Amino acid sequence: MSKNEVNVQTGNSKVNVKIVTSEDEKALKALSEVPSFHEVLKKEFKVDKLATVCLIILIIIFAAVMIGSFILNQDEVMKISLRNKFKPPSKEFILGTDIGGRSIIGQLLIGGRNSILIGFAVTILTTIIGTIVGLIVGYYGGKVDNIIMRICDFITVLPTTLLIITFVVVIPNYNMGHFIFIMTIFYWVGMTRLVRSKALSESRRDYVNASKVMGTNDFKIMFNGILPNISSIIICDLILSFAGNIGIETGLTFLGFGLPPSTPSLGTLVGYARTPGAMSDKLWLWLPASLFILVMMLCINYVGQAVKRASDAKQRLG
Amino acid sequence: MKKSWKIIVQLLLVTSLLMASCGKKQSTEDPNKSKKGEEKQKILDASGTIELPYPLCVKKDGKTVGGTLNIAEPSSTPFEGIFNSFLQETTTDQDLCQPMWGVFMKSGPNNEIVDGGYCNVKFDKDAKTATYELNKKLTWSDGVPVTSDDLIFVYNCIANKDYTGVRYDSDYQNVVGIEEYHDGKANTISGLKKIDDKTLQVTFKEFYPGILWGAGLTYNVEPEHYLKDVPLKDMESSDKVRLKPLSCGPFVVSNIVPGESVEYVPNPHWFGEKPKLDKIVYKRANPDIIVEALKSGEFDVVDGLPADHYNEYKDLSNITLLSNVERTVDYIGFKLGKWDTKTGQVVMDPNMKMSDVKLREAIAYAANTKEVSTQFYNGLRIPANTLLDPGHSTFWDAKQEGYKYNPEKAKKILDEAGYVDKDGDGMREDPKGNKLKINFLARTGGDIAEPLAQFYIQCWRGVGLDVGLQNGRLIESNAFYDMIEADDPGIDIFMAGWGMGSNPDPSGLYGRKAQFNFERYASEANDKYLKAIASEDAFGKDGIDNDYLVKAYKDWQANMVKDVPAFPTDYRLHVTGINNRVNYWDLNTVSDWGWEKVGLLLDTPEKAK
Repeated sequence: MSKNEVNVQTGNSKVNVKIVTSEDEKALKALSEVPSFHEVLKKEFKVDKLATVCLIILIIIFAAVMIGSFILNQDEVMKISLRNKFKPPSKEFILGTDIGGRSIIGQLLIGGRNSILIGFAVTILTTIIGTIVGLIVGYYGGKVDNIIMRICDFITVLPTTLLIITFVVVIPNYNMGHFIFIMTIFYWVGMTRLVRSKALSESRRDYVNASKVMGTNDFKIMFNGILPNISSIIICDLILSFAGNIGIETGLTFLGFGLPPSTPSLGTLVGYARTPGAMSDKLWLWLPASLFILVMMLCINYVGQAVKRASDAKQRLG
Repeated sequence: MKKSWKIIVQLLLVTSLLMASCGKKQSTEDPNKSKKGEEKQKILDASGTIELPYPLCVKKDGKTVGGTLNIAEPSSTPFEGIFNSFLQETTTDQDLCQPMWGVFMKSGPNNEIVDGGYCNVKFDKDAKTATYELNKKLTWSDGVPVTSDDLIFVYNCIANKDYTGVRYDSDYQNVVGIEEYHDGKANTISGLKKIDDKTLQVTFKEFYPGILWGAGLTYNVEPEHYLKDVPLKDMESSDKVRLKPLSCGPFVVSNIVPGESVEYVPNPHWFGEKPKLDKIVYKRANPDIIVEALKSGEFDVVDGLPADHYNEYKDLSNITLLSNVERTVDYIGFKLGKWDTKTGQVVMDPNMKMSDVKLREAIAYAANTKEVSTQFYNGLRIPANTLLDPGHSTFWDAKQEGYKYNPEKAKKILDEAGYVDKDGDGMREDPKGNKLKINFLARTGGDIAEPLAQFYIQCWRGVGLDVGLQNGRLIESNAFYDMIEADDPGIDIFMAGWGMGSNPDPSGLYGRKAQFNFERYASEANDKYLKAIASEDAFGKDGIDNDYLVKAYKDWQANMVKDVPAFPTDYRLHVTGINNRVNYWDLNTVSDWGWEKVGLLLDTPEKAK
């Protein structure tokens, strides 16, 4: 456009043109420039105060848990001292103790860190696998699409939770690594489907065709062309599934199929609510962990919602 | 616990005799005195005592009003519901049958069989016989009299080749002619002699003391005329056993909801005094909700309150608590060898990690069993000293020191035996300088299981032994026993428990040929002491020579302490809660208590204030 204008105007006066073009170009550029995802996000958070507050809380929680668990010694926290059994919150034990006389606050911090790390690792791994596979499938389509998507279908119909439980029972000495591994095996499918559907429609666009005609390497098109265009969706899905993955670890541990009992976990703490009498009389056992999970989930979700809106122009608030 | 049959078998026998018996001697007759904890009762023994936190018996005067007695059966899974004494295999089923079995046989202070039930047994050591004498008026609930044929029927079923239950064991095989019958070589069991309609004589191959405790005797009758048309293979699933069993006791089943509840009404053909209750309802209740149900008066009787919830029910205003010592021993065992399936006996392996008796001693001294009993179980468990349960108070050696918590002594023993830390990692190595990594196998069960296992590990690490949970976690109960029984090579130490039968003879648990000898321990001294317990020398002029038998048991207990193939951790107290409206309940071994004597003083149950 600007080129045309310049051409039209060249006939009248060169001096004038020079000034007009430099000023116009700036204004026009500003007008036609697509704001970066980062900027949209900033705007979105500015408008949505709740999301901002949630983000701050989330950062505080993460910082507290990471620093706290770094200072604490797990062996020290999990040391059993029968005389301190079921101590209510006091100066010595800020959040009281459990049946083995172990401090709840220590377990909360270390357990929180474990849950967050597992959730984080699983989310990142599933996203990486899902994005790569999804892009390849979406880009090539046809037979590749058919074969890989049938494998995905197969994994989807498996009773995932049951398989994870079996796996945990069968492995003799399992730890966080195993846990992340087994969860990743099953949970990459969701991301693959999402990326594939987006990549499928994206790969029919003109810019992709143009790239192809120009002989660009397929992978270059995928990762330099398509990926940036669908990255906003990936990012917002990533945040929302992060919340979900933390939940899975906590839930499995609650059922008794999570991390080994000597490893503190939020699930174990919430599970104490099942002890008769604890529900009403020993709030300190399960309430902190439950609140922790509730607050964390809500915050992640609100932040996730804001990101989601930012990625979709129709929903934007700012 | 499919592999831990011995316990349950033994527990079966126990319960029937236990329920059938309650002692008046020690009962607190005055209802005011029987209030919670006011009077501490003691189990008397030749050498020592255990103090019980609650009385053994409650008896109140007053007019009873009939009504329905609600009993809770604590179980987190539906019960099987086999109402037959030789087919059923769980203690839950056993409990459910009590009102219809009543006091078929009565037990004495040592849990041996004594006269006074619906059936008396006469023993003749020289003739090697036992003679059942059924009560002349004993009648089935359909009006047919109970005869000695009903007793023979039980033997015939147990010895039948189609019988798949657990009763056909060495004790039954001791009956003359039973093996020929089992193999199909004879049509009848030659050792059973029907003297008349109410009398049956059983002849044994060997006559050993266990017979006085019921080894090779049936502790209940089954109706031959009612069940004879049902093939043994189908008996377990037949309605006659599952839904409409006959009874010769004070109560008869009126309605059964499979897996959930059983209703009893008085037996119209019962020969004894008329039952005071109109109805008894047994209902399965999840242990987690039992305390709440007790509070609201939903249950009048809960037999076996869970120890972990003690603080929630100990002060309830509407219930009275009773207690007695259970016939159980919780122990920590050491794997010392393997089971040889070919020869059917234990083979000790001197190269096991735990083969050094000094190491075993140190581990036993380092375990703080006292703190576990008092802090974890609210005092409802007693630190144990020997591998025999104090429920058999005459034979239990209260004076035996056992292994009292003494970490300094443990350290000293380890130092002397050459277990010292050579590489400076804080953990001891074995005398040869190799790393000593000890695996501890523990099972799941309640909230306590995990901190309990961790606590013992902590104790041992405290004296410098590198103990860790096998596989890094607790093992589910069935898998746990499978692993122990299969001598899983990883196991060094394991934590388990036994329920003892009414017969205290430990040869089934620690004998050379006992598969349940999970420690795989055998020694000549042990063989000798076990033989003494089961020997005919135990018979004096008339009946059992108590002095001889007490000494034999004490010798054995001392030897087990010396060799430490396993060390006991605690004995359990059995706590029963009854609503204040129940007039009579008794946990004594010797007692006149019977189901027909239980009554209610109020129409509605008392609720907690």
